Amino acid sequence: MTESLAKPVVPVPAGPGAAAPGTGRGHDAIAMADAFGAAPPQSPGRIFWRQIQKSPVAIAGGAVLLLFYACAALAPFLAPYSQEQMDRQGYFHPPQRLHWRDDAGKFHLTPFVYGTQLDDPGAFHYADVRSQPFPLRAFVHGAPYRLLGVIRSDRHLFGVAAPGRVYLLGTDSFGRDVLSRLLYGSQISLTVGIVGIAISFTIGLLLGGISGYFGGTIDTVIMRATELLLSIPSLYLIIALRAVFPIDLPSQQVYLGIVVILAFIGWAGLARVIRGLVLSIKRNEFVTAAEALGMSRLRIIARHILPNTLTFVIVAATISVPGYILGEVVLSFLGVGVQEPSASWGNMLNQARGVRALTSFPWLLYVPGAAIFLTVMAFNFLGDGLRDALDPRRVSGGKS
Amino acid sequence: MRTYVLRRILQILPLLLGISALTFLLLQLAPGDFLNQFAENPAISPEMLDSMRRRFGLDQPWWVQYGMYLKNVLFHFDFGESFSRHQPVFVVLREGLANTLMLAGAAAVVTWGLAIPLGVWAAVRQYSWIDKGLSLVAFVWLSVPEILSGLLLLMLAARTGWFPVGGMRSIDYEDLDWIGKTIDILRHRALPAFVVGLIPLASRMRQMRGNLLDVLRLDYVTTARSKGLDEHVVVFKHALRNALNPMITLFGYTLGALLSGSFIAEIIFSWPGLGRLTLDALLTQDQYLVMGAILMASVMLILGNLIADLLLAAADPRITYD
Amino acid sequence: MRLARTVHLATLLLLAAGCGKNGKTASGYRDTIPLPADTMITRMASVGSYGGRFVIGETTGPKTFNAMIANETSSTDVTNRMFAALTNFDNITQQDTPAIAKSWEISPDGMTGTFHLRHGARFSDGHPISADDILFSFSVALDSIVHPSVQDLLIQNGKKWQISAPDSYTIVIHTPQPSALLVSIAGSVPVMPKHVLEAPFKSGSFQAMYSVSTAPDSIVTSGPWRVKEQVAGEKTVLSRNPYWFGVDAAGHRLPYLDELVYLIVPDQDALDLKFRSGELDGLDNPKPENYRFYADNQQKMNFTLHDLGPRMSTNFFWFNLNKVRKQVPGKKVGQIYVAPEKYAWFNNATFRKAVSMAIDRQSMIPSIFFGDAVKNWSQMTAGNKVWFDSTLVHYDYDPDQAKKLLASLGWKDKNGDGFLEDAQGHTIGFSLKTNSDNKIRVGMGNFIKDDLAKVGIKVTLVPLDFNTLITTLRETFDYDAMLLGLESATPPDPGMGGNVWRSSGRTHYWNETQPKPETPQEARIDHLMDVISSSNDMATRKAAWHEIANTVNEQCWIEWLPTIVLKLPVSNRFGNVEPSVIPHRLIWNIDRVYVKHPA
Repeated sequence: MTESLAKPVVPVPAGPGAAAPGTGRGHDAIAMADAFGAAPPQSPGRIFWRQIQKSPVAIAGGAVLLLFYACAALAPFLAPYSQEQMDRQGYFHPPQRLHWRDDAGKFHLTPFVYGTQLDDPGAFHYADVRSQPFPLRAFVHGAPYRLLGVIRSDRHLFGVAAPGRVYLLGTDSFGRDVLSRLLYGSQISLTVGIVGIAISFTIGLLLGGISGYFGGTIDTVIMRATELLLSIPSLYLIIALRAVFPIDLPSQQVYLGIVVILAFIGWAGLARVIRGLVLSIKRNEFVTAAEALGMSRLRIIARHILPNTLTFVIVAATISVPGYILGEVVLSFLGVGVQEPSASWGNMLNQARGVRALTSFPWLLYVPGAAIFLTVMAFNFLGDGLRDALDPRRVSGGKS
Repeated sequence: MRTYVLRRILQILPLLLGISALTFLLLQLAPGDFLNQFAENPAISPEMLDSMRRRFGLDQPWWVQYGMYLKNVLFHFDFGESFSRHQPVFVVLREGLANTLMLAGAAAVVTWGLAIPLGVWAAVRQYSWIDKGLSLVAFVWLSVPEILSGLLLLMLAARTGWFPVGGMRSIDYEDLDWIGKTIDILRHRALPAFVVGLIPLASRMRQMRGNLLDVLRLDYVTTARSKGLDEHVVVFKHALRNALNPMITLFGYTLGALLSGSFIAEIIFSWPGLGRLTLDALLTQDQYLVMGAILMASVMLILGNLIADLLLAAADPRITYD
Repeated sequence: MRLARTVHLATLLLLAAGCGKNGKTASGYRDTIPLPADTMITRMASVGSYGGRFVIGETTGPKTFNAMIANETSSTDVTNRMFAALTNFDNITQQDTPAIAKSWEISPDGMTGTFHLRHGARFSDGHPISADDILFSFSVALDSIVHPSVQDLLIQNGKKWQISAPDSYTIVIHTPQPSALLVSIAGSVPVMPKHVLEAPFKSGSFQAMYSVSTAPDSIVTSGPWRVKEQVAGEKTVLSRNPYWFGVDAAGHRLPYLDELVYLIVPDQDALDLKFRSGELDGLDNPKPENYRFYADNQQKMNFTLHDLGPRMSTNFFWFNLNKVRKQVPGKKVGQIYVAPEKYAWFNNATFRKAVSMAIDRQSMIPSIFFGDAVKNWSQMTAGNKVWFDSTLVHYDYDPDQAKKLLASLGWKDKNGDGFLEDAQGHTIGFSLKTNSDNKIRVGMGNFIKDDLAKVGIKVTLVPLDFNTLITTLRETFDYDAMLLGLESATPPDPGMGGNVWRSSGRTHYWNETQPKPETPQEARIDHLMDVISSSNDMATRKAAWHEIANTVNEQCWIEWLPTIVLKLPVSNRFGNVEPSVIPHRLIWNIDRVYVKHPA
């Protein structure tokens, strides 16, 4: 099985949504492994920071992601309404504008929204009632929740006094606030990627490491298994796996099922590349030294070999997360993912199917679409920046 | 070299066996069976349901079913019968596969038709705003989910009428002359091919750019330049050919991405391809159709990889195979 | 690069040039075959002319052209046009009409039907249709191996209908019990060609005949249409049967149209888009959310939106009171499926009533149905002109009363979590399952959950994929409550719904296949169903149905939900289009439809 290094294997079939990012990664990481073998002048952390700062786009991506994940964690506090609250008088309400200047031209420090009235039920047309301004209030009481599952509270970042309502991003067909659902949905959609990567990369690292280090039958078996999985186009495999999991479980377990499916597909590609890397790292002196010292094989793999693949893994992980997020979106789009009434971005996108929704209620498409798009783009930027920052050619001052 | 080729081809058979086993296993794990959808019809009695179960062999234990399946495939090239369409699986799949390949082919034209010129342009104008701009645009494309681009383009088609809203051919197709037929095919294929083709476009473009840049750094290019050759000639006549070489192998690997990508486009644009067939078959648990479809899709992907590997082996003399 | 750009440009130009619409074929059709002795003068609004084509959309293609074994609508939508039977059904007058039988008499006891076949009727290959073909078709229908779905209608209490032919143009049907629907059921058996299909039937390969891959020319049909072309995954095209015995008022042979095309379009959104772009001539299952667009654009796009009132299909949910009937490992016969504390609630009519009164159906209508639905309280909806009964008992939205009823059961919210608990401390609640691909049902589930939370009942909505749902419904009975719907039969007569209303019925959802009626109300309903099936007096039958529906509603075994108002858009290019709420809603009379030529 000597062809694996030379064959430009597509390293991470990162899920159905993302493109295969390219070839030649194996070579980069190998070069870097060699570079690490020869005691670097500065600590990798410092080099990394210096390099990443050269890429403002990557920093922007990282900042956006931090913001999104922070919002996801604080979702119940940030959201003015709960994700299931239905306003029976407010179906398909368009996003409300914030005003700072009232009709008399007077400027207000706190923005306000106008109350609205449904004047054409068939067209879902809401007219502003100019005589009813509702100023935004901070830290209002609202639906009770548990932040991060622990902290009980009922305060929300902003809201309006009853009977006013504030739909900054509009409502959906059940009269549920889109902004709130977006925030709650981010908890699912954003973490699907992280959890999925954690599972599949753990499996991939372990199996790839074992396969590369031990060789022989184990290697053959594992590689055959990966070949099997990689030979089935990813979406076909996802759908086939989906049929196995009857989704008649509470939403938490549904979510887990989806993550498991996506992870099941993702580990194979990583395992193959890790195996290639391990094969080359194995030849290094420090490994032979550890073996001579009688260190247990698994410890060698875990403590010496795999950490040298770390930089590659970090980059690969970052680039792969969007694929998992889009995997959930695809499953929900096909109607077999996260179900109502739980909110997920893919779920919300499904609400926007159909010509009526696209023409009359475009915010149902734009809001989750933009969120997904920005998240994926942020991950891609970050991943690209990371790759450049960790590129050994740059580090050693070579030609760029 | 020849032994390598032979070995690779032989490796495909156990691979397919494994895939068929995996698919069969997954189908067995799924709850219920094909006849569920009839169970809801009050006009159908349990006796009839039982007779269908017997006819389709669904009452046998799983190893018997799988054994029967393998025997038919290997010795009679019979992939079984589609429960829902009362037709041999192979006949049903043949049409769908041809359509998917047509779409993938058209998408490939879009991808490479755009990736190569744009990649070359970016490389030639390295670091200029064109390069940076294309880089940015590539990232943007990469980040747009296929579902979004598909739905938006469909809306465009519905609003403007420039393109038909889905389907593969017009009703009048047979009545058209050959020009009309070509135009009809092009119009129907344009949007889905575009949507699918956009997916690998960004990375291919980047690769083209990277490859060309690498080649342009090589000594013989500097030599050509110092000989006073026009830049145009240097790039297109000397560098490009070598830069394109590694891209050729990627061609085969792209097939996998295109197969998956066309899945969604087929659903959005009502393209009667393999992906849509598989989804329908899976949701109705049309067992043999699902297995056949997944096998077929996998064969395509494996063949694509094989061709790419062979091209690579043929093109790059540095690689040895023992 | 320049070459590539040139190609791109050329393509663009070609695209701009090639914007054609469907071509219309001017018909050169001349009927050269002599008309039969007994033509069937078909009821129609106006006499038309030959030529043209009607295009309709289907979400999947037909699975077979064999009308006898076709089970699902994607196939029967096609085969019902290809094959005729003894009688037909007029969706507008809602009467049985002659088809292959030109007249019939029913004996006073309702157990014998004598049908007189028309002379000169022929199959699409010119072969005469005679009593032999009727006998053959019924024998296939009653065959235990082929076992088509229509067979269940031909067997009463285990005894089969007896069919005989005293001469080549008379058929006599004896039923073991009086049957009010004798004529309609006789009209459900398609007449298949004996001269082609007898040999395969005897050798056991009947089901394989007339599959979708059969050469169109070899498919012999008895109805107005025959198969012209079948492209898998794309379209099915029917053309006229040159031997069809139906004529218009002026004595011209029908059908008028040269072609009937079924275009395969996978989902409702795509169907809608195709209609808007003019590729389809009508829609038989549009989404309510698009009604407004259709209404606003009738003039501009030259079609008419036919408002047909409430549909005949219903939506409802029920509680699982089923018991184990067949021995299964781990369960005893007679055991209940749901948890015992839940069974105690579900089995209590007061609880079911409270649930019904807690649901605000009216507020669902503007949201899920975009305003185009009506509250409905019976399987015979307002769209069923003959059987609709507006005086039925029903428990509509009254949350205060619902709360009172629940309190009367002794349930209070002791732990302040917003939900009631019973005496043992169990939180009152249940899971509601429905199929995830049906947006309307999932939507209703959302409303139910929200409404019941307001009276203190905790509902978990569990959308499942259809297959899993059916397994749950049919085999495992692993559910608390389920939300589904029922389409009406043709004809839309309660007598066709024995399986649903009888306590022994397989689709008596809330408590199926009872060996003996387990409640006095259900025993009464069983008796009333007998009356409906056997009596010939409409007043008696209606009174019986009235009592059945009232009993069901009083018990709230079925929790009714709104029914969609049906509005079908059809192109104005056609004459004699008569959309109806009874399937096939658009093309049930396609043999009479014609293309209007500009004056």
